[in-house]
Amino acid sequence: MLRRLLPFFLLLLMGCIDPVDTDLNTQRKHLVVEGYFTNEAKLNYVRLSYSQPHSSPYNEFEEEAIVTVTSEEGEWHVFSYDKAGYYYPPATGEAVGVPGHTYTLNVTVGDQLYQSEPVVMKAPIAIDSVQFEVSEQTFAFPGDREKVLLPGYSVLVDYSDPAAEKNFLRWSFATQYEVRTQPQDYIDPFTGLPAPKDCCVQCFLEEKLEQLKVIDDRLTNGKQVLRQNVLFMPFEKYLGVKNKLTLYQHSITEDAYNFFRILEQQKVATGTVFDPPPAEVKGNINSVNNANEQVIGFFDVSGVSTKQVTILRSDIDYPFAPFRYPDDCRVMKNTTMVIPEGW
Amino acid sequence: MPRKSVAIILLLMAFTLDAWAQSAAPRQYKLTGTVKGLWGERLEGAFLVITPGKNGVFSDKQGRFSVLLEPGEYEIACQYIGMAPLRETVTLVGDKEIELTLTRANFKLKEVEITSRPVTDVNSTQMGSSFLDQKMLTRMPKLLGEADVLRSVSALPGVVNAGEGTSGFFVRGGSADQNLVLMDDAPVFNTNHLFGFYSVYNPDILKSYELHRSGISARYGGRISSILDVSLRDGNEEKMKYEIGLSPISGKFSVDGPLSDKLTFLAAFRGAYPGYIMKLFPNRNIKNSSGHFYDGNLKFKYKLNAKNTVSFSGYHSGDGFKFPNDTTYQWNNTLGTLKWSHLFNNNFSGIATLVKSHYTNKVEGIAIGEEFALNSGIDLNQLKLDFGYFGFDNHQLDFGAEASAYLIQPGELVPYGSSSLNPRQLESDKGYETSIYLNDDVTLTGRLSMSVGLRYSRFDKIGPTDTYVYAEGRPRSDVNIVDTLSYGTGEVVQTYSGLEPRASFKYSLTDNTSLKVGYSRTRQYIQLISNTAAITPVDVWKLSNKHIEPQIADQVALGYFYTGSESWYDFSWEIYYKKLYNQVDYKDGATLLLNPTLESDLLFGEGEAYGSEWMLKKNQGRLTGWVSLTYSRSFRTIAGKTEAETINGGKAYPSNYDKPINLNIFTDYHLWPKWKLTANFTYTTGRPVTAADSWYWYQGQIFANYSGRNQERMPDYHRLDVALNREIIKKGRAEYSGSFSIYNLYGRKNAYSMLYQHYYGEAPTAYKLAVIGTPIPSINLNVKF
Repeated sequence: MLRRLLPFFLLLLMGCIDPVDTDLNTQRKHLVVEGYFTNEAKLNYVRLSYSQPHSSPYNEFEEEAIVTVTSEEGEWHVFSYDKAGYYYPPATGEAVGVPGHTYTLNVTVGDQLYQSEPVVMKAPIAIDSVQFEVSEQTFAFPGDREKVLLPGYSVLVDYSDPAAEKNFLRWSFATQYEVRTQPQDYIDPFTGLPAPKDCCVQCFLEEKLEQLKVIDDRLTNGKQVLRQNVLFMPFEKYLGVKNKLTLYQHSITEDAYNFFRILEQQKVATGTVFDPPPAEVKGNINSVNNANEQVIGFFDVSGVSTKQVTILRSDIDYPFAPFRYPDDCRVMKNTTMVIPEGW
Repeated sequence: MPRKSVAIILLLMAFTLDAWAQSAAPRQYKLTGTVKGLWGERLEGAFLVITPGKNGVFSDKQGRFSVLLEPGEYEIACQYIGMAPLRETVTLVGDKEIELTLTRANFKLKEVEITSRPVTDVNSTQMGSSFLDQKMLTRMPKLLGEADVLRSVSALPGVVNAGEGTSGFFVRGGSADQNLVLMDDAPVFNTNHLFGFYSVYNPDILKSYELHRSGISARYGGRISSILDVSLRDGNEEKMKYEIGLSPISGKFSVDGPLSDKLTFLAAFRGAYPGYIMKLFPNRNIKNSSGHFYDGNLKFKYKLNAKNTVSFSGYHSGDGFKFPNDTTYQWNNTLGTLKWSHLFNNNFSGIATLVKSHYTNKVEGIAIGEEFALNSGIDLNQLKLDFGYFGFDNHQLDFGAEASAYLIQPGELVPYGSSSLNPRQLESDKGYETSIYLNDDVTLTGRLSMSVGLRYSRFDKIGPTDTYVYAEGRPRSDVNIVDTLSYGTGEVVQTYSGLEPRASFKYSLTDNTSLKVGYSRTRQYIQLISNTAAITPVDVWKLSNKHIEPQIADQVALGYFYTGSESWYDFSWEIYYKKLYNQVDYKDGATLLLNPTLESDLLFGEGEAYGSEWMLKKNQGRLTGWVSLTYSRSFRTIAGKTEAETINGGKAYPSNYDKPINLNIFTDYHLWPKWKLTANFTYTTGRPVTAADSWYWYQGQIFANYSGRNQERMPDYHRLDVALNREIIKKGRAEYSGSFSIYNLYGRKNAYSMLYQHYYGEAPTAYKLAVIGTPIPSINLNVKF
């Protein structure tokens, strides 16, 4: 809540943010492990990359690792390389976790073995209901340089916190939506003249939305938690026609909570007097061969509950302009014209 | 310690000292006296030179002095800041009592006014202390139209500011909460107004302040780094006087004068109204926000008779800030001091002081589903007895006792409306701190004098409370609690106590140079729990307990002092070394709010600080001012029992307050007959920060990989402020004065903090956040009538 002081603080005092030089001699490279294992097969993946010095703007992925998830109960799943650093379990959908089992992530890169601490999968906590509320928030679409203030829906969930134990939650989302574009208004970028296209207006997109937000039940233990704000979706693009939103509520471990919390703290930190100083984010992955090697990242094992909701443009009681995209909708990234099943 | 044994010790000490003094003294008479201002107020710290013999002596808290002289005729020269020097001739044929009344320096004498006590440094045993009076302060460049005590403190050697927009300051490598900040003897727990751009001190009614950072007298205790002793003036005894001050966002009004020939009073009120400026902002969040503060002082002084004076000083302030549909912050300070000064006889005086300091803080959330009020606060009640005895030749004895009761409400969460939060109340934190002290200022020979003292302090942490026992060999954490010890109301949970020896020696090399050496041990039983660089309204105070041991500091300092002829120049050079014990640091990502196992998020270790401070002052002429330069280092070592309780592998690392080079230049130039131009330049090395060694993607977002703690540094800080001051213009009954200041004249974007940000299509880069990035002009006008 204190972070909201910042806009006032900044503007009233004409404060400003400027780049500074970093000492490039101390810059280093570390393995980054992003591992997720749940009771939902399609949410399970591992991503391997390397942290880069601040002088380098490029990504570097580890493409030749051997990745397995094993459990104390004898399960054994191999993850194989796809692209962009992603490793997925076989598409057969067998690689699912069982709440209560204890899982370990193993990554072999060359002759180096990296292992996570063993993590127990927590039982999922059901989402009771999902609500939407019109609000305005700053948001950046992929490729935007800066965030802009947009109207949209805040997604709120209700759930009952179990009183018996300490609980920690995070959320992830999958969204499937329809867009309508204006190919007839296309302007040729070379001539600057209108060059209407015949196709295509209707496209479908699928996206994963990740949220860093985590919460604990320190102050809400055993209560019915109402209207927990978990996501913001701008009306523009996402809610112009129809949207099928799947919410995954992850019941995570206390260590995972602490990891994501410090990560989130870093993301929203704006360097004001009210911010805690930046801190090292200690993960749960270690190098077996070299105890001094810093490995970034976390193997997050969670029990997930799912809820799907469909939002129609016509249900939204808020005036907003239609999504404007004067081109063939197939030009947009990751679009398809195939109408999804059950649409 | 039982009272009886204390009395016996004091008595024994008195006898031995008396016997010693008598055997050493030749046939002499005693000259005693009182130094008073025009309105009868007793002046502490006036310097008297008695010739022949060039004996120098200071007046004490009661304005009294005493000196032994052989019979004869003497000239006494007396000087005091802001007062015209006085010379008086005295013929001594027996013990004699005199009264010296000083008059205000009139404006024509401004040129020879002493900007700061130049003589103090050379002739007293005191070292590491700085004094500033109100006149000097009001001429310093202002920010947002107000001269500020806490901002001016950071222009002194060995003191660095916590950053713009904060009123915290760090003294000789210590944290902000290691400074005891007083207002008329009452400790202030939050000195901020409007996020630190103003402080609790109203400059219009300020008398003077003194900052002690080494050679601290045994009279003071409770904090380990420094004592900032701020006194406000009393009402004058002459006539009713009014003063109005205006600046673009704040207004002040004060009135003082006699109510009868025995009773004077002073009342002052300040308020700030930044609201209309905020309305001008295009940003909706700012436009719909509001902020304010007000504060008021009330002082009474009643002279019962020549031997008894009773005075009262009260203060109340309110601060508020609101964000649209979101969160409001409110905090209040209430301070009160009731003081009875009594003169037992010409050699013995005493002061009894009753102090109350009450601070409350309320954060209120008004978002639907999350409505709450979060209350916290601290309450201090204190009784102090201070005595001064001057009956022994060449000795000035100060002794006394102090008892304080602390009651801290660390946090109470009260949900309401549709809130899904559970109510939660942390146990209140209760404790008693008691101490006794004895200090003796001894003049051994004409050249050698010393001040030796001993303070004994004791702290009792009192129930009701639950104390957790953590598993051995495992990091302290709520999952490692193996037992809970419950203590009932009033039960003593933990006691800490110890001696705090203090000593300083002065040896005069010549009439105007001296060498001084000092040692002090200080103890502190209360800390501010704050993982931010500055004191913010939501920080919570915490008393020592079973897990949090008292902070202790040992300091040795050595100094060389010089005053040029007629006090045109003076120069001082001090070096110090400090060792700090039981210092508090924080785990990465510590939870500090509403945490019942707070100690499991804290880390404890040792600290070390050393430095050298040079100061050159020019006191007279058209141009006056000072240059102060400090080189200092400050380190912490946190080597806990487990890896999770260790920082940087248990090696020493620069503390948050480590700013090796600190240069301050202050000049005051008499431009034209009624105009003065002042300038203030500050340069400090950037503060240590935890920096990133690389960047990485996680969950589709870019992060900086921080490693270790405080291994890099922020860019250096420097700033120039100037002010043009118009001296008083008299028009009829009214006197006008005003000033125009520019803060940060060349618009340096000084870094407050560093952060890493990523913009699409670029490599993530380190950025600095500057709180003030442009020159800030301000104007203020004062009218007295």
